[in-house]
Amino acid sequence: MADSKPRSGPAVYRIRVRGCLDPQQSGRFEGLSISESPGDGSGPETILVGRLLDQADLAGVLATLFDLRLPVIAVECLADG
Amino acid sequence: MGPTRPEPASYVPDTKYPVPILRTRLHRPQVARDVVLRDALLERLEDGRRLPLTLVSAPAGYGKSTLVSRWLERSAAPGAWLAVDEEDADLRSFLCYLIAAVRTVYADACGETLGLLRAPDLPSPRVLAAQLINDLDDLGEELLLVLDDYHRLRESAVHDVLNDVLAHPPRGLHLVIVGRRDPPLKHRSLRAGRLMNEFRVQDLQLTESETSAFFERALGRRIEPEAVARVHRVTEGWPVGLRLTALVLRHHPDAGQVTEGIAGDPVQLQEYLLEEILTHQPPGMRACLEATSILDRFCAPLCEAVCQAIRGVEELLPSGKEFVQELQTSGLLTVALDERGQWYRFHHLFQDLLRHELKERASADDVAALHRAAARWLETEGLLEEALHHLLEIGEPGEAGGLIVRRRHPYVEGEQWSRIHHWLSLLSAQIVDADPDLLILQARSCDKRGHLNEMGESLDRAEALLASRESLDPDDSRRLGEVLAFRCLLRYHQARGEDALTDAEQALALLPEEAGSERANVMMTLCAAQQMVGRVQQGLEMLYDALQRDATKAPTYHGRLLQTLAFMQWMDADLQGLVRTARTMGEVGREHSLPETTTMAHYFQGAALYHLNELESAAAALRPVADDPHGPSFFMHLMSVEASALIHEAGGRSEVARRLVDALSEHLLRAGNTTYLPHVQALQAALDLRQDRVASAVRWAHAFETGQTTAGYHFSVPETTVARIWLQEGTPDALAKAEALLARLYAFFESTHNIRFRTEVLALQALVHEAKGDRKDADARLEEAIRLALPGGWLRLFADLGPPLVPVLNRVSVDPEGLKYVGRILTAFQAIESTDTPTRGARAASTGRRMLLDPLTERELEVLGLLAERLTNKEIAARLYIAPATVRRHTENIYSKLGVHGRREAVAKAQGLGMLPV
Repeated sequence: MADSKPRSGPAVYRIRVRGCLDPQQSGRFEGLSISESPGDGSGPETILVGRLLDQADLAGVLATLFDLRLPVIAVECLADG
Repeated sequence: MGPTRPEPASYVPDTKYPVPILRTRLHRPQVARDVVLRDALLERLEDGRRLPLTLVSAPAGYGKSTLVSRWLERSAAPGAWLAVDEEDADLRSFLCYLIAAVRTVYADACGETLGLLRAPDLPSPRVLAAQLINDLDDLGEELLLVLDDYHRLRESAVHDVLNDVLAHPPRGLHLVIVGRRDPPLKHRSLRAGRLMNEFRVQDLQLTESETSAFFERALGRRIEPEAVARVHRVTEGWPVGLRLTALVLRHHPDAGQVTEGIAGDPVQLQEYLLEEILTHQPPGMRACLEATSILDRFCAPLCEAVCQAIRGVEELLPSGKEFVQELQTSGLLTVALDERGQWYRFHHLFQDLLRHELKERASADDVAALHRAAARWLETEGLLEEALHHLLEIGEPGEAGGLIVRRRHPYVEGEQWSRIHHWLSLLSAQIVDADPDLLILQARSCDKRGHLNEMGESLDRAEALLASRESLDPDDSRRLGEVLAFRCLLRYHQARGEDALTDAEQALALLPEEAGSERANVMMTLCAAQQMVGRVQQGLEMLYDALQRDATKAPTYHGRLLQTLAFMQWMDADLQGLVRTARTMGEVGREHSLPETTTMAHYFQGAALYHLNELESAAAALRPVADDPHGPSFFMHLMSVEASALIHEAGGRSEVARRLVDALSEHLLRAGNTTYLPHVQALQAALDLRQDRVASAVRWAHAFETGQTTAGYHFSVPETTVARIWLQEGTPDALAKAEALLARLYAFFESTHNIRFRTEVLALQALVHEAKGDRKDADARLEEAIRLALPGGWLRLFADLGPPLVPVLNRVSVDPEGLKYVGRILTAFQAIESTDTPTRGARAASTGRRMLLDPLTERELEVLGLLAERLTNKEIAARLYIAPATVRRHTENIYSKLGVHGRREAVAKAQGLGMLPV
């Protein structure tokens, strides 16, 4: 870990969650692009993509999804910076 | 218990707040001596203080709280601190704390918002946010408001309120949000607009040279550069990792050797460091550290109480005081929460590690014993919410319920209903339903919030529980007594007077003498029930007796006795007595700061003055209650709005009346309170009727469901409005419906001995008979109504029925005193018109003559004047130069128009109507 990339730093993330985001709630995710996809057979998915500042930022997004009861299927780090 | 008992001042004792306020949560943490001074960061913080928001977002152990605390110490602007807690899941509790924090700087801030927070049914987040923004903006002064540990908040309503605050930032307010992750707020747009200052991991990591400086300060010696570099690389400048390392290095002269042991990932690092720290603690100290990790904050006596539950190392345990002192001297990651050095907390990360250690090493039972010990101590100190938290954490809601039952009395006495409601909401329905005491408490809380159906359900469950027991011990019979005490109140509400008396007598037989408060409640229901079954004198005498004997015992009891008296006088139609009672009630309420009693005093005074037709004084009395939907009693607010709306309507301000009622209806719908909806809709329909929107009123009347009529202690009864609508419609079918409804209401109010509403029903019946052309019956009904209303001097009751009543009033034959009264009623009719539009006012003039359906002619008036001089027909004929037969014709016309049968009656009535000088 000590020799890997620093833990904290901006990066572009893609987060996939099961279910649809209530448009009223999308204000909580300003700055992220939100799209829906039909999913792979277990119902529709919502995909959030955007640049997050660090792990605290990412954790905030995940906690909000948790509070909205949207199960997270995958989190990918697409690119640093 | 140790000598350093925390002062009660750690707790805000006043009842200003509807939730208890723990002072320690409002103190910024004291900054440790070995902390690295980070001037550059402090400067950046200070530079951002004119922006609406500063966000400090980083995982545990990055020194966030320390940094911000340091900033507050130095900033040019005053700062307030709030350590957020899971308890703030409740919006009410969070906002109370927020206001308490603001008030540490501006003592009287946010009074209006606090008022809203006292409402039994909390207003919406939007309403609360708007008020809070206003209140903070009114301060107009600079304020740094820190919300520390914001990540603990999971309640979206709280986020909604803060989003509103950030969207409309009050002048001078700078919000500082500190947490382990980014908050679910709309801060990204602030960031994009450069309207926020931000501190994240990169900003908070220590550089290698800061790391070196830190070790030097913490250890008092230099560490070799290679060791510093190694520690810095592994910890990535993570301050708490460095502090843990420093604790280990204290016991190791050879830093190189230690730092070689730290490698791998942060989890391994933490475990390694903690193990190193704990193995160097004496066993007693180590046991105390682990045990006290269950406490989110602690003082010496609390530690001592908790540590007494540790088994195995009893003889090695330090005292609470020694433990806390040792924490200080050894620099174990502890944060002081107040200046007096009484309350502390562990560094969050350190606490997490210790808790983990405790879970590994102790059995679940041992951990539960620690929580119980903490709960016991907290309970005796009156820190009930904290105690409940510990019991709920170990999955013992039953014990939590027991605690509420043990400690409920002072809170019930102090009318702290929203707090009691909060406690009950922490428990599951299962727990409440299994405990008669909790069910009784819930019934009380339902009663206060006006949810009568739920109240009945709680009582039935409690009674069933007690009935299922094989035998009743003294406590059980007392409980049954309490259930019956509440059920007699419910029976009373349901107008089942005899049942109420039976329950009341049984309750008094079961309740022991020392259950003074319950016995008092039953006594009051008993008095009112006596009235309901027709023994009003007995009921009043019992009440006067209690007022003389017991009133001085407790102010709340005094207030409640007066309330009962007021309700009884209202139903007994004794307006004069009601005015006196309301005045006394106001004095008692003010003297002892009883909000509910004061509110009632305003309402009753306003209601009585309204019916005495003193509209301006009535409006002034009602205003404080009518203007505040969030006051201590929603019921009183509702009735005050009703009366105020009628005053505006009578004064020709129809629009104002309508706005008041619409706002009330909206509030009820928003709060989901349907108990009072029929009252408000009836009021809307009554206004429709007066404002020529008959069709809308008729629609409502058709939809109105006449359920069970409840005891008539309210300001109005919805059913009488229904009757007036049918009457206005006037078709034979509608009149028949009105007649049937009024017959039912008459029977109800006669059987419940309610003179106030019996009178109103009689007057309405008179109108129905009049509409059917049945004059004799109309007169008889109205004469009865006048006889009943005369002692109290009711005016608006008749005047509110409008012009159709005037011809009947003009006809009725009553004694001279009655006639004078009728005159005053007719004057009240005019008052409506004269305060109305100017043209109508001018037309109304001021003579009773105008009120006659068929006014007297000038000549008839002349004859009437001479009748008053007791002249004979012959003498009158001589005076007026007319034939005696013509005089006779005139007198007969006069009698017919006035509805009288002889000259004496005619004169008395004309005097009563103000047509002749008395």
